[in-house]
Amino acid sequence: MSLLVTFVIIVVVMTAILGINSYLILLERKTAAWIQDRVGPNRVGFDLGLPFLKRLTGGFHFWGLGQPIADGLKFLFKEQVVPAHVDKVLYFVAPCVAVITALLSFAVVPFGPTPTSANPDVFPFVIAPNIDIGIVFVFAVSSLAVYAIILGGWASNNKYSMIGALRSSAQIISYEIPLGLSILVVAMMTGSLNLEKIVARQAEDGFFGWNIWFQPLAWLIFFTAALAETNRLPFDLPECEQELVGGFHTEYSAIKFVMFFLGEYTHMITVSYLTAILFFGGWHFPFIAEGDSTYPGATAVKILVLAGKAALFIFFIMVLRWSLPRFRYDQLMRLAWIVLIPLGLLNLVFAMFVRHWELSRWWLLPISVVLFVAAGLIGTLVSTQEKRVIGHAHQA
Amino acid sequence: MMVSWTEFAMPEPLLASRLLEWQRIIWILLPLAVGMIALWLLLPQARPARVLISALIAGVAALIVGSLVLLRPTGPTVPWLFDALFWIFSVIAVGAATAMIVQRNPVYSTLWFALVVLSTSGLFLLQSAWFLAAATIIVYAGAIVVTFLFVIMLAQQTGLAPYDCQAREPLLACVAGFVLLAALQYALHRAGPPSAPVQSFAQPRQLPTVRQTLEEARLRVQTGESPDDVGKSLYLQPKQPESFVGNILFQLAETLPPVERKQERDLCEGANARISRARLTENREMMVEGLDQLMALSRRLELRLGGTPLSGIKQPHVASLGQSLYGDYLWAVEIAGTLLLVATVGAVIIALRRKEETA
Repeated sequence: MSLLVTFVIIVVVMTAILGINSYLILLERKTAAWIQDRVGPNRVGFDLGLPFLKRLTGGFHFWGLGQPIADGLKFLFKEQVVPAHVDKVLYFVAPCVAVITALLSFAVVPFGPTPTSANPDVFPFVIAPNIDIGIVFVFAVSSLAVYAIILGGWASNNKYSMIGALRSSAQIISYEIPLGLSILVVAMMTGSLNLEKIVARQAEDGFFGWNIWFQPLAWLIFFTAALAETNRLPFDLPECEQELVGGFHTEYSAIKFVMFFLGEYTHMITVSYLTAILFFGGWHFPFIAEGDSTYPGATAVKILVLAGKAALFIFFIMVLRWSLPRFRYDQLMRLAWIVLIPLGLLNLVFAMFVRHWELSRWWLLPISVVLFVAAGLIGTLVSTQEKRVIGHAHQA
Repeated sequence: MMVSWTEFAMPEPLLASRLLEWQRIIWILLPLAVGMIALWLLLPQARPARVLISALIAGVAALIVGSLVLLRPTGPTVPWLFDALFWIFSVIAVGAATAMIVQRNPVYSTLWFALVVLSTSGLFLLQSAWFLAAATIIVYAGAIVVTFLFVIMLAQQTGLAPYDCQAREPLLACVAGFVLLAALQYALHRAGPPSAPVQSFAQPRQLPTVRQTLEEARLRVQTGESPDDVGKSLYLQPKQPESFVGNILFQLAETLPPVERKQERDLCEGANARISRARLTENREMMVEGLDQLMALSRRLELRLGGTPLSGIKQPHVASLGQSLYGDYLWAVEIAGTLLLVATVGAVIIALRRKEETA
């Protein structure tokens, strides 16, 4: 019985993710158009340009909502181009790994209310409920995602792909460390790695119990590192078009390219949900969705609140993509090893102090701010000094 | 030295049991031997390709015979799904390990190794060792194997090296591996099946509850024994059950609302302190007193947390693992950490010196 329920949840969640993914691509294009003062895709309706469907829909364009379906069909029916010089097996394995790891990491992420010790009768809105290692599982699976990029880059047998893959593996391994450090602080504050318990704890303490109040710095580190893990724009060196053609997916086309794309967008959804869960109270929202709200439809509201928070972060990530320029490679590595990791360590140590002497959690807010300002000051001073050195070199 | 005939003429039942014993050992060694031949045939050598097919057949035969031997019903019956998953993971692990050795292309070898790590983590999961499984994936598959791939991809630009195409001493290597595995298997066989039913994922109910553990410890103390739990075959076996349980209760008290939390935690701390003082002074009465306090606390917590008996080990998995690592095995963890630190410092120093030389 529970096996059947789990199976149904898996099917529903995976289908929903894939559907949302295709519309996220539309949203991304619309956001890009909005930021660049264009109109964006607005022509393709649900008739997809086919005459017999056009008669059914009356030729209405539906504001471009048919675009993802048309895109998907186009990718599906395109010619399957396999370059002659690729490693035939790994060339096909790589996109599969991208999708599998991305979908698998969503397994322990709760997308709605889950049973707690206080009210154990709630339906668990999560694929694998009550996993004690919770966030570590997400970590483990997403650490496998790097295989997709490495294999894709190597199997393509192309120097641009190879450079993209090498950059990516170094980047992902480096940014896993600050990511882990920031999550560790949250786990320490809650006393559990279980995502459901982390949400339950925040919901119990109300609006001012959200972790963002105590850990803004950890949130910043988490969000930055997670962006780097998803290879989104300020950190998209593995595929930067201006230098590497298409990076690791230069040789990929049609459905194989879409699978890399799906992997990236699914990763984005997971990261947004995790941000909402770890730092912004999960499904909790003051007055509307409290831990003890029992009005009819409360469960649906909680699911929607969490989805709404995640959607906000997805939108934020998209806006970031069209607002920030790309990092240079040495800047990227310096950000991870010289800025984020020491900051994360210091933050962890201070959180330990607060936990050990049982001080008020509010001490962490000024500590975070002071750490952030200090890091900013040091960074500015160092960078101006470097500029001077470079200037001298030029004069000499 | 003369050997008399009587030494060979054993009594009838003893001879029969010896024969049975030999029969069993042969059944254990047979799949290993077939597997060894298969592996030897599969290893990259300058030989015609026909060998591949015979080697694959031998390998499959070894797997089948081995699984027949292992399938004998000994342990507790487990749900079919767990059984099926166990066989899937094991077959993948063995197959991928073979492929890893046999493969000529080092990149593929590395990937097969990653698959071995993944399926082994699957086996860990089946044993409820969640954290171990996740940590294995993160450390091995996610970091170490990726670094291997990195190096191999950078180093291997044109074609395969001669040492990739031909194994060195394949026969010797196979025989050495066979002897090692056979010795292991024989030792396991001699040890026999576990006398007590193995505590596993299949019977979470069989784990002693917190109160059972406390009551057993109390009984032992009252009958004049040491409170230590000696005879249990539990994984993560706590050396001092009562302090272990005390820590669990202390953690559970954390989930209570603030006012109760403080109160119950103080009580728990008091009981824990009393027990450890009793251990030092070997004061039986004080020990029983502390255990009673813990028992009262666990009863209250049970009522508070929904009435189900508190389970001793199942509940806080990562927490109990942490307790074991940083309590029972603190020295080992510290020493391992120091070793890693030394290695890191050494690596940094070596890297720095090279840089100076090249400059």
